[in-house]
Amino acid sequence: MIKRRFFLGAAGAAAATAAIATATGGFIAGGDRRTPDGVAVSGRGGIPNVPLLTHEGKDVLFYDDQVKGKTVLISFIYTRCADLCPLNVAMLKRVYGLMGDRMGKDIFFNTITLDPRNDTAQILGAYARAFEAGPGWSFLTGTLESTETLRRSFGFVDPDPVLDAKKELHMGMCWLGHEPLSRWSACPAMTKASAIARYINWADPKGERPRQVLSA
Amino acid sequence: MSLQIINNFRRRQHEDAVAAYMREIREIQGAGFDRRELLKLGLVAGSSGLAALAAAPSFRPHWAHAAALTLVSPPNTPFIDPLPIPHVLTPKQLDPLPTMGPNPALSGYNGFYECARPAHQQWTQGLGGISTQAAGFAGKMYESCVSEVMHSFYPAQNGVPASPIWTFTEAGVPTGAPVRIKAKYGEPIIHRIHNELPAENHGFGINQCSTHLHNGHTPWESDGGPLQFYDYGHFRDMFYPNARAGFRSSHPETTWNGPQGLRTVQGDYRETMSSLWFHDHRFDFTAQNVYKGMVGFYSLFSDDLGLDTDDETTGLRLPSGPYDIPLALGDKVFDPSNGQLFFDLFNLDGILGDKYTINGKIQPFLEVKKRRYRFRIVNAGPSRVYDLSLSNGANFVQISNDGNLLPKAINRKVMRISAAERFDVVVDFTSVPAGSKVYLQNSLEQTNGRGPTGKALVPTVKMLEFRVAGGAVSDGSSVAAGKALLPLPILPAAMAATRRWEFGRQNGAWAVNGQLFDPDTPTAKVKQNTAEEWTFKSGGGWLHPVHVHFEEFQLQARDGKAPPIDEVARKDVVRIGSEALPGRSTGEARVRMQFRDFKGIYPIHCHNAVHEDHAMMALWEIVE
Repeated sequence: MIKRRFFLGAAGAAAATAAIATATGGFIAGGDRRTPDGVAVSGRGGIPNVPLLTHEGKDVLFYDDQVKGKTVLISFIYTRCADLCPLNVAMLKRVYGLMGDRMGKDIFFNTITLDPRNDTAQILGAYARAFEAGPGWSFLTGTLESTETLRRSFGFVDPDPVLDAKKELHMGMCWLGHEPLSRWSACPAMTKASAIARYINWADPKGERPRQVLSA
Repeated sequence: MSLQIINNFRRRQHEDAVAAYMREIREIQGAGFDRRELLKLGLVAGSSGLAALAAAPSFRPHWAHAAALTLVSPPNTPFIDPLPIPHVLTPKQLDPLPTMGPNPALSGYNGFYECARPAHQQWTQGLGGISTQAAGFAGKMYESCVSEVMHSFYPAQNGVPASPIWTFTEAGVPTGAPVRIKAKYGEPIIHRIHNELPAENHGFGINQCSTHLHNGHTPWESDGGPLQFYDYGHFRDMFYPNARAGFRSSHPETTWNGPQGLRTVQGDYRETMSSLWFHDHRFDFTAQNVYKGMVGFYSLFSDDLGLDTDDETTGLRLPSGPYDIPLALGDKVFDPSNGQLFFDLFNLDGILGDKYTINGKIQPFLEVKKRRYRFRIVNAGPSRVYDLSLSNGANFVQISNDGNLLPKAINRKVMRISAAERFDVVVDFTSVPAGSKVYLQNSLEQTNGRGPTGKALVPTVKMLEFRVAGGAVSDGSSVAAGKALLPLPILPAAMAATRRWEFGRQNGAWAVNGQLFDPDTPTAKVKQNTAEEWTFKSGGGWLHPVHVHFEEFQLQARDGKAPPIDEVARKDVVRIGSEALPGRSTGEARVRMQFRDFKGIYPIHCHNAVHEDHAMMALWEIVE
């Protein structure tokens, strides 16, 4: 059995008591789940549409505003992490450079904090400035519930609660998604930048393909 | 054009079926099941309910995600549908004829181009290729398509709509069963595979493919490695020489006094293989694509040696013809809200399904006669490990490990099998009373994708029902435990190198020898036509089926101790980590293997396909 992390039904049935879901049409993967005020609960693939705040102080919904219709890279960090997170972000910065002017047009990076109590929008703003993050790269915070929902939804969990609480275990991988095509893969965040850039392109219908050559 | 119309028609039919199913689900809910029953159906939402939405939008609670729920498939009625018998592909004349490099002409079948690929190695050296320039091939030619077809995993009476799956078909025509190629030593094959997959993936998968012939002694450019994928609108000619290892190096010819007397063959006769399989290997998407159905069987017969002859009255006299049946095990989960095949995209540990399929049907049955059968069992993954047994307590007579004949047939009561391992077994129903039922069952508990718990699964899951029929029957086969099959190859006394492959995790990411996967640089260079000793090392808490492409290895030791008798064999997958053997972990497995005849870049990787897709892989290269 598979851990189901996304909400199964529509909000209408989630009346305070039993919260029984009803299927309201569309595939689960189609993600047409809405709260009473009409906001999607999760998007295609069950990606949570949690409310978040960007490092620029903008209110966003994760699926609707950050993922839907885009090619995305999703990673997790926390600013108090002194050694590994800065290396991760520096690597992503190199990937960012390789994506050139596609950044902010059809490719977007979402770096989510694992420590929202400390990482306010202001702190993330300073962090983003320190790395000179350009357009199309959002550092995201929110309630602990929102960021934990995202962490768990992207599989960064450990069945052992002690290990699960260790933030450093959850930042080694990043997700690459071509959301309109439901194409999702993961790779180590510290993979060399040129490789991550290629992984993004390989899954792009019009992107480059691996060269099949032997070593010289 | 007409194909497109049919596809649209099928899609509409499918949408109608799904809509009808979902209406039904809503009615069930309307009828007021209690919470426990609904939980069983997986239809209960998080318990936090509707919390008030706070003023600051980014800090309001997100009420829907409080509880991690378990997805439970719609129930199925077991043993209603017959086991799908694999569809044997028919050789044909390819149009255009194969060429050494990428074909310059368009496919006469569908107008597709051949994808960019390196030229076939040793093409004209007696392996079927006609010329380096002109088109032509003297071996057998097959043509298949990977296509989207609608497939019912459930019996019709359960009313669960068909799911779109991606699978190998003969000229785009689905048969409801996986395809099978029956190959022979001495007959090279070109398998032309068209990619007809749609971009719309219904939630998971990528419409790019690279078909790996698992355990093939295959030149690199036809290996179907992770980086050799191609897109919709292209085909690729896979070249399978069907030649025994050593044929261009250590053993140009060998002679054996086997079941049919003295025979001389190309290559080392002891390297003869029997049961291979092919599956998609697209980098980072293998688990999704294979789960979606991209699996086929490749049975390699050795008539030339008088060994595994596809005729039970000759050679080793193994059950043959209709009594030789490949079985692909795959556990799946179906979305209870719409009945569709479901894949959890964002799981990093490994994927488990609550429905056990064999050859694409959940819990099928097979009517058997009172005689011997050969089952070629492959665990098609992605992550589950099984302990297989027969419900009547009878033995399997195991004749191969990883599809390679054992030195001697052995009796097995319980067989542990992890992803990509292949065991050929003979099951004897001769003395089972007519009218009785025997089950192929799994008794190993597994609660997450990391590996089995080692505890007994209660109750045991019956996966396949054998219904023993009465009536007259003939059985020309002859095999029992102790029967001599094929001796092991003799490894060179000197190892050219020893290497360690240590699988570890760094901050949740897989690393091999402390290095992350690098698509550009093979981490080891192996000298062609030498032998090496490799040690695979892993920590605890997880089980990893480690797979090495190209030549199979012989397992020397598990944690310094001799491996069990069934693993004194030629293997290409070895289980390491927790519960590698029943009740026993393996920290280190030591193997010896050779690298003969071809050159190229091959991977070593974990065959828990979810781990594989998350870069638990390294490349190595055979160089001169």
